[in-house]
Amino acid sequence: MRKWWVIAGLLLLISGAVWANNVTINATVLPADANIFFDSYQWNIPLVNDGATPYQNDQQGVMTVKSGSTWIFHIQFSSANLGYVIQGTDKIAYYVKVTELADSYGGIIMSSDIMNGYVQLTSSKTIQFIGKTPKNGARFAVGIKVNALAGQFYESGAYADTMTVTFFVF
Amino acid sequence: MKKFLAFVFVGLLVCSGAWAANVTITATASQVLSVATGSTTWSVTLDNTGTALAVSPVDSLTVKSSKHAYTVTFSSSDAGQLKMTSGTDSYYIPYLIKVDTTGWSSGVTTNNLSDYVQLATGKTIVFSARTPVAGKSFPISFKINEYADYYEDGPYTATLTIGISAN
Repeated sequence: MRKWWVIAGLLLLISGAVWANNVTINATVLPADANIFFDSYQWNIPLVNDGATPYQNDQQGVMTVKSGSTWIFHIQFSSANLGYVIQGTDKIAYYVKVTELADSYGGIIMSSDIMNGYVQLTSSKTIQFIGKTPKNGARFAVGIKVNALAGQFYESGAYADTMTVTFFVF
Repeated sequence: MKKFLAFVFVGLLVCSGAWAANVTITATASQVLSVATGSTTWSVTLDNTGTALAVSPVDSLTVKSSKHAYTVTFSSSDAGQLKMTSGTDSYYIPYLIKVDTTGWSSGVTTNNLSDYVQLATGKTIVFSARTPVAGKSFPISFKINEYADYYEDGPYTATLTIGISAN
């Protein structure tokens, strides 16, 4: 009887260890070469501020997304000030759009607001991917647009916001 | 074990958020501060009968500002007097200026030219709101008070300077 309990205990430990190893799915969460980077981390927008001229640069920056995993992943765009650049209590809405630069990566799944047109980051916007990117990554143009206030000035001065792009793996 | 599994998944989710890139976006809105009058010369005729002369309005002041806080300052040569020089003698006629900002009371904090005033020293209008791009216009009025003695006849001039600055 005692041997039976010992064997049962060992089996539990072994099965537990196996289960724990299975949990070491950490390998899939940390895919090789997973990365996201920009050609510049400081974007400057000069506003004419004449109440008529909008600002639009469809390639304000170039974002490169790399993943060596075959798993699904997504990147998420968010804004510290919910899609506004701010100066004290003054704020200006800005809009962001993402466009794939070279149509060499077929890994984008599902339609994405931020790829369909300019959107304000009042909430986070997501692009879903599956599979590996090319070794050098998939490149995307990130555009910025600021509308003019018809017939009105923006309070002159320097406004700022921080846009965060986060890489998530499932 | 379920708890452990939950911890692991929570850990995975936390770890998955580790790859983030921050981009600082800076937008600079250019500054506009300007004042203008409809004309750069005002000509008035004083009949020299002792009665006051008022021209209302003599012109309009157009203010443009992309700042919400700014001040417009009026100042005059010879402390608010028209001047004529003849030989070694100089003659003066005090004149008064008024600027009517009642049409935009929400944008004006203080108007020291709301009633006729001589520009013995600079007088200011303090604003607290941006103007539209087209600007805001205000009537300017000109006055010479009645007088008991004749003024020396002839042409008198003064230079009125209007400035604007952000507060």
